[in-house]
Amino acid sequence: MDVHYLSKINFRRWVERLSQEAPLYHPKEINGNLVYQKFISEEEIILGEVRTIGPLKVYFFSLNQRVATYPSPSRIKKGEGLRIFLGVKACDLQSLEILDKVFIEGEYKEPFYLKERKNTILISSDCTKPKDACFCNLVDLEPYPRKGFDLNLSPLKESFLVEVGSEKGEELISRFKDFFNRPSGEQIEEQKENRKKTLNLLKATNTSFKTKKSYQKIVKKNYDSPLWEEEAGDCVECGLCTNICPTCHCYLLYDEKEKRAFNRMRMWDSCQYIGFAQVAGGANPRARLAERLRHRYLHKLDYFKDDFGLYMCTGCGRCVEGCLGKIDMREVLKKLEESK
Amino acid sequence: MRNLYPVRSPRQRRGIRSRKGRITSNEVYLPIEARIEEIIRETPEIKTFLLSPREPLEFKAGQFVQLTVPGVGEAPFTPSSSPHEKETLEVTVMKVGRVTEALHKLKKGQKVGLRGPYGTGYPLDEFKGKEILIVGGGVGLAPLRSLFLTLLHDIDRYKEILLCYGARTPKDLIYKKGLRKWGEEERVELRITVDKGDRKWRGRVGLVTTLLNNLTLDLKKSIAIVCGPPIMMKFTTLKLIDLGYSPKNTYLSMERNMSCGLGQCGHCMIGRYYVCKDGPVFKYSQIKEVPNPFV
Repeated sequence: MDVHYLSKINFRRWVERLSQEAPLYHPKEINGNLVYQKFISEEEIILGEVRTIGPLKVYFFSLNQRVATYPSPSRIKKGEGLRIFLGVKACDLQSLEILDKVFIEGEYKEPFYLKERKNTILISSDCTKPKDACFCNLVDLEPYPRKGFDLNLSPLKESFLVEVGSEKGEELISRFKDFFNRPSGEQIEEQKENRKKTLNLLKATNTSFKTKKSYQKIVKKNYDSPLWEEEAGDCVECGLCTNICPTCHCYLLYDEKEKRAFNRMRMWDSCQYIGFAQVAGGANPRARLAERLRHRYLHKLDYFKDDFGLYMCTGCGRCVEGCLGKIDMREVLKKLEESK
Repeated sequence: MRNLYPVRSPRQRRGIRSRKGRITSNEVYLPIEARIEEIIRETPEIKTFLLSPREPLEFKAGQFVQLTVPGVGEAPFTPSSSPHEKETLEVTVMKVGRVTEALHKLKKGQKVGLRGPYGTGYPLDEFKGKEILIVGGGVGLAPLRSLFLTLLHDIDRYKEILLCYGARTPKDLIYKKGLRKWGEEERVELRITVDKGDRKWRGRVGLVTTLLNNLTLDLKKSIAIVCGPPIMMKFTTLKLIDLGYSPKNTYLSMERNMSCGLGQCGHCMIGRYYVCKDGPVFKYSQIKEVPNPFV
């Protein structure tokens, strides 16, 4: 993998040029939280730190959108064309890899997701300040990207190391060759040190949550555990965990009337809602909240892992951070392992 | 009435762009038009709709389609007609919810939409040379009728068919005309029961499981297929296992909440399976470990 050095001053010039080519989104701080914003000035860009408060999936898989019109079909615009995301963290890159499995790699391709995916350049960056809720190290990931990016930026003191991850990324460098230099051994060493430091921070946060067995084994083995009921007792069924999850992708198709035509709409749905699996006749395979909670864990940590070889969880900790009932996935899994 | 729906090939239906690039791939969500050619009132709550899609919609027995009532929404149905009928297909629908109630109000000549077919059908190759036991309850006979007609089409491939059917009362029996004829076919035995008879009823009275009491089938060479309401599926399956059917030779047609049909939206999941993609036909051995398989 090619590695380049980018000084702070050249970073500014490069980003400004990039933003002229396509809409460029980057993390910016608003009221103490990081959110993606369209580029205005380089000063607002926050590259290191941690993931944004909301998941990246919203830019690929809309909360609610029209997916078809009938009886006479009309062409529905898919996306706004090429765009660049800067400062995406490893967990959110992984979430796209997971969603690809569902929306692109199956028998049916999800046309809107596919289009946005093709239209997006991903320039990721290393985490430097994981939050207390972060636990990517517990789901086989690291707080810095290994794959799935076009370019990755590792913040150094007053500069960046740039790794190339794809041909698209290579192009973004070769077209602005003058901005990039060869990195020195020291700089590469600095990147390594920084990464180690972040990983150690993350490990320290999660020491008490670390389990001996894999998450998959734990949920498999504790299928009948009374703990599911106990944990579900704190759930208020708000659906936040699934909405804010970067990998949850359940949706509902519904039709609405518009003048002479009908629109088929697609809206995010949540497996935590009571009516989610209920059939018209009234039968409900997951009528109990505990069953729905368990289903969510099993889908993420067992079924998906079996089907695709990876967890449907990136350890981003958004569900932990946002849960109204203060249900912490790490804690639930730890308790499950220890219960006997 | 002008044709309201576009004509599309199966390639296009799967969301693959045509060479001219005119067809947009969002058609994975788009229904094709079908005209209601005939409506048969089976019971006060159940109607069979004969539909002619604007382009042939080929399916295998056991696969399902998503039927759109314009402006109301979609619901999944397994066609009840023979897949050998290429021009039309039939769905038998009980009035139980929002979409089915709207469908029941439609008249002959009106249009609905169809998307599909989706899912796996019955694995007919595995049925060859076997004695086949089909057990249906109530409106659950609908997908089994499609299977039965498929088997009948090539009856020489199979040793024998025993069709057992139960309904609540004689008034709740569906396909009354068909049933009479089916019993006269060679290699076919038909057993019908109702939970509760009426004055005119001369047939058997008892739950559908009572029809399984004196089976003459050679269990080792037999396979069983079950479809019906949850409670009937449960007790029938358990009885079959009790009688000596192996879970591998027992097939169930599962009913679940479906939205996309594409194996994505998550509604139909039971355990690790997407019923729309991995089913709706399952071997009992596949799903017996799944939580609440019969709910």
